[in-house]
Amino acid sequence: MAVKAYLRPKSAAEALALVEGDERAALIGGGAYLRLATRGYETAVDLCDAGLDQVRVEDGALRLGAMVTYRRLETDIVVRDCCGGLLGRCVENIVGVQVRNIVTVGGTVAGRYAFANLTTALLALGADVVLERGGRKPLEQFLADKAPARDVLVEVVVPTAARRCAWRDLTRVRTDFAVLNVAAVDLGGEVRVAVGARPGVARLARGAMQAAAAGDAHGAGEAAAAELDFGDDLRASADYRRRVCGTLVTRAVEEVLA
Amino acid sequence: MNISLELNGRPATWDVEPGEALLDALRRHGVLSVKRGCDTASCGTCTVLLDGVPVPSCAVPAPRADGRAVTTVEGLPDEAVRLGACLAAEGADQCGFCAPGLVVAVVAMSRELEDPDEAAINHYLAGNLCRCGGYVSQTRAIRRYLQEAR
Amino acid sequence: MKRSGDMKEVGRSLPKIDALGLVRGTPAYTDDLAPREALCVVAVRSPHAHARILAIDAAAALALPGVLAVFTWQDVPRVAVTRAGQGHPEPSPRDRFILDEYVRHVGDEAAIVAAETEEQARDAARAVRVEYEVLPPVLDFETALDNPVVLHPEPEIHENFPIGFEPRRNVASAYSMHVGDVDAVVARSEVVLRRRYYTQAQQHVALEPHCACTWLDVHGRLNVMSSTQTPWHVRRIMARALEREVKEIRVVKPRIGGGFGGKQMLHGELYCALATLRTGRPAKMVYTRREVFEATNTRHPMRLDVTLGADRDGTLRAIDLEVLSDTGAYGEHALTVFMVAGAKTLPLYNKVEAVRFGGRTVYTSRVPGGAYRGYGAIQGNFALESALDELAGELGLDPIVLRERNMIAEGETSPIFAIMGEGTEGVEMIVESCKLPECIRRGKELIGWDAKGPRREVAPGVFRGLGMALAMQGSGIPTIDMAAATLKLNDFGSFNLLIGATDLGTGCDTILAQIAAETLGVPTGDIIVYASDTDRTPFDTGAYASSTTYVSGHAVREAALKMRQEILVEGALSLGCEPALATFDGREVRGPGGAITLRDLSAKLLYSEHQKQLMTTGSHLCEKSPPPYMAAFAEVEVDAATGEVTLVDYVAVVDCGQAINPNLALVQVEGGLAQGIGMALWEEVVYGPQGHLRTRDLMSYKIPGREDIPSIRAELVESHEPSGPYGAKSVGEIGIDTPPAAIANAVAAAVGARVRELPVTPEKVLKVLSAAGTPR
Repeated sequence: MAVKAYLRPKSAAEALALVEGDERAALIGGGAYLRLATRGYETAVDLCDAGLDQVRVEDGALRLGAMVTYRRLETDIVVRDCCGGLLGRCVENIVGVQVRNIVTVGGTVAGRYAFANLTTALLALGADVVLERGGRKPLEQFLADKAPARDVLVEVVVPTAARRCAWRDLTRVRTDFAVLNVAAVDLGGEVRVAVGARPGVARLARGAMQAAAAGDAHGAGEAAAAELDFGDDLRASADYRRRVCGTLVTRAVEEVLA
Repeated sequence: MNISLELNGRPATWDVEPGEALLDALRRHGVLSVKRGCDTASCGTCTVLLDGVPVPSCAVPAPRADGRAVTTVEGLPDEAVRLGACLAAEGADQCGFCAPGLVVAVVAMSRELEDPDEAAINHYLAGNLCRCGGYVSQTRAIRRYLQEAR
Repeated sequence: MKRSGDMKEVGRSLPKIDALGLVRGTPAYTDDLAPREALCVVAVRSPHAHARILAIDAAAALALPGVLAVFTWQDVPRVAVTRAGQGHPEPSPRDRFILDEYVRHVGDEAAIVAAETEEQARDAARAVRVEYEVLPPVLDFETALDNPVVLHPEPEIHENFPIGFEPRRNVASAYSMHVGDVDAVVARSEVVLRRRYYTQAQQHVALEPHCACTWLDVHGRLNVMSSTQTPWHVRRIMARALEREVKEIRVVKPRIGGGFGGKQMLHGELYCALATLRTGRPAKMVYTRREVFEATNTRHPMRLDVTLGADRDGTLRAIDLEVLSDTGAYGEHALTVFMVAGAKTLPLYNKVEAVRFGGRTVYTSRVPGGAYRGYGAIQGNFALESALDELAGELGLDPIVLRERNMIAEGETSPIFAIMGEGTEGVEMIVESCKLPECIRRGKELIGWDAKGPRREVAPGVFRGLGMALAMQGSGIPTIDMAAATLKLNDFGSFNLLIGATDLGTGCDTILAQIAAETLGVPTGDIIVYASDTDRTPFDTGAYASSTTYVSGHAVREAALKMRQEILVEGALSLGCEPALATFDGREVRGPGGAITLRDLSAKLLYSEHQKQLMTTGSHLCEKSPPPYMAAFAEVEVDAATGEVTLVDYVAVVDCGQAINPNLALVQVEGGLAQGIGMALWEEVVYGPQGHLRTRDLMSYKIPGREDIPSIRAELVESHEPSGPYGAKSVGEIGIDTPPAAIANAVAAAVGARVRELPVTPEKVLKVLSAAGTPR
């Protein structure tokens, strides 16, 4: 299916109007996998002019526009100051600066990619997504949505109450997709633990969170390994993931509890 | 569709396909320094500056360059000569296929980072693969280039 | 012959002559130079690992805009060839046709489309309807032998001379040799070690994807520009396949973006030729990265069984190496890679009483195995050097001491040199240069072998370990590799150097210019190189077997010596004296009565006095293959809880004879090490259950990046090979051979458990750790 039209709407509302009724229209965020698009599309709707690249802090939350790039997460002072720099840290090894200059927060979250480090971190941080039509909802709910309606993700809202944050992942070469990734966040009242690239999409490990709240890092690791499900893929077996999950969660929780 | 851009400091008007990658549009218009080394934005040989920002041109839609400035190694002749001399002096240049993208990335790095150490250099350039040289001599050459530029 | 200190051009780290041009992005590669109006050629590729083509309906494709032709197996000449870029007659089975009725791996060519643009060609390829009879594939090389599914039933295929070709049994080649009675010696050995190792398929990942372009010139001859390592073999094999005369075809190699053996084979050239011959128009074929993965070639995966018999003091008595090699769907390089696994490893330990090497290469329904830097030696090295370390462990010996007790020394020989060539018998050879003792001494020092000890716990559950390995390779193929070079003197004192040698980016154009310059006594800048053109340069077998410096270098030197002599004679004539009374120092010819500069003489020779064109040619046949040697030392850090292996340090000390250009020699070592480290730790070609490639792009197949390769510290030791040009041997392949063994050995030292299957992944480390119990 050859792309026949390329559009640059000036707002999220305009973009929504373009994709809502048209199955053959696709939103372009980063565009990183243009040549590999398995689902063909005829109309490319590029969000680069839609005013979605803002970073602001408002009401105790960091609001990231959907078109904020990974590189911006690493370099923006406001983002770096938030949550112990977790957001920058979880993306800083992905492929290279070139790719991180085009891959976007919105493109990643909307894609619900199982491998995405950012999704794991946002889940641990207790982030919400804001959709143009669907409004604001917790990321966990957004990820679980099996039949999502066509919509435009405009913003991700990250609470800034996090005190200590830890990131652990395991890759083959440094710049590769993770074999497993873990984010642990101490929010004061609770410790949130998320595990992604299982190879399934990021999930909160609630048993691990309980153990962490009780100060038991080792117990948190064991709980996470027991409560989550893992699978085989190109990069690792389910068995291996289960084994290292315990270690990575223990180390992440140890770091936030220290 | 028509787009207007600034290419290496000069205005240009191109007719591009809506679904065309910037890399292909560039090569079609005779900018042959940008290379296609892979299908997945993984290798760095297609690196260009888009409004001064290093991006993989294979993954940027050509129409996105409308109203923007694109810089390739053809537009960085002094830096190419100087970095090229450093690479040659260290024996770091081999097949040359990664070199133009590397020049663009190094220039971007020199504008973004102040006095990067070896770890920072390797981190910034992690997206520029090289299969011939094993990186160590390239890193030496890049450090020399940055030093001489100061 | 001159030694290091006296030389002016050889031994200098001059910049590559094409360095600046390439950095600036000057159009220089095949896709840059292909005519704008070239047709685009695209292959219709099989989605099945094994199938018979029942019918091909191209009607819909031909009806699409811009489509000029569709070729099927019934439209093309049917002549059995091998695609392997090797000499004539090729030591690989001729088991390929331009297109065949069978497809034998996912990605195998089923039909060819030519259209005006690439997009049109790819659209047309998708529109070609191929009806397949899907056949059961053979996906496991350990079950290929005598499998009821026969992958090559065609009657026309054959071997050129006996290579053990038994296609009915799925055997592409077989080989065995022995010296002494291995079984008897093993039986009476005090200590016997038997181990099995596996090495994996590896992708070259030259950054430039394969690319070819063809056109008809004004004489009606077929011109081929290709990203190839072997222009002459391409020309000869194309002529055979297309049923044309060699004289009707010209092949030229422009700049290419890396090879590593992946371009020592025909790829798109024949398909472009079909399009050009049919339409009269230029045609080009540019592989996507996915096509490079699926449809070129990989390293041959191997299963290696090692048996060592030794005394308790570590003296090796017998080595037995039995190998099963997987050549995939076609047999290119099947026999020769197999043989090198023994020929370029076993001679390292030449004092044994008995040695045996043998096995088979089998067909499977996978991406064809082919040439890849190291060419069998790296696989053999992994097995042998791992086994030696395991033996050292059993005997309580330092691994270095075990090597030193058994390794080959300068002045010695090995019977294997005479027995094993590449595809045929070899050549007896005394090792005239071997600096292994110096390599070991220096390497030990650099890595801190004695100070650090084999293992230390640096943090709870985190262990560092040291491992080492020795390696050897060869320099050219004796009695087979021939190279030639021509020098032409221009007015005002410059020279054209015409060489057949193929620079893959390695810088051999520069190195050969340095050799010419040294011999002539002129600056390298006065040598203008033109290379790799079957019409316009003399012959060279091509860039493989680490032959360029050693073999082509000699040819260049010979041409230059002849040129010196002719300049002397002409200068003497000009001065009016006998040549015997004249001397030439590179700048001028001096006689009893006066002198004339080369600059003036060369101008006179073209325009005004005793006019003639001075042009000399040298040819060199490789007579022996003196091995480069190296000692390598790896330090790893292993996290015992996750199995993660971090390479902390890698030290390599190389004896390559005289380095013509030390910087370029070192970067060959460093680049080879990076590629070997990739094979040791990360690179894996993974297939799905139906034989399709799961690792078919650079997201799924990971080569080392900048942050993965720590400080590699490579050094050259001073060495001089009397049989080499200015004392040189070779350095193109030796760099890749050691990392798999050195790293596996280091990991074993660190955690007391060994991985015998490459790559050494965290998952495998964790598995062997669990089996062995936690590290003590």
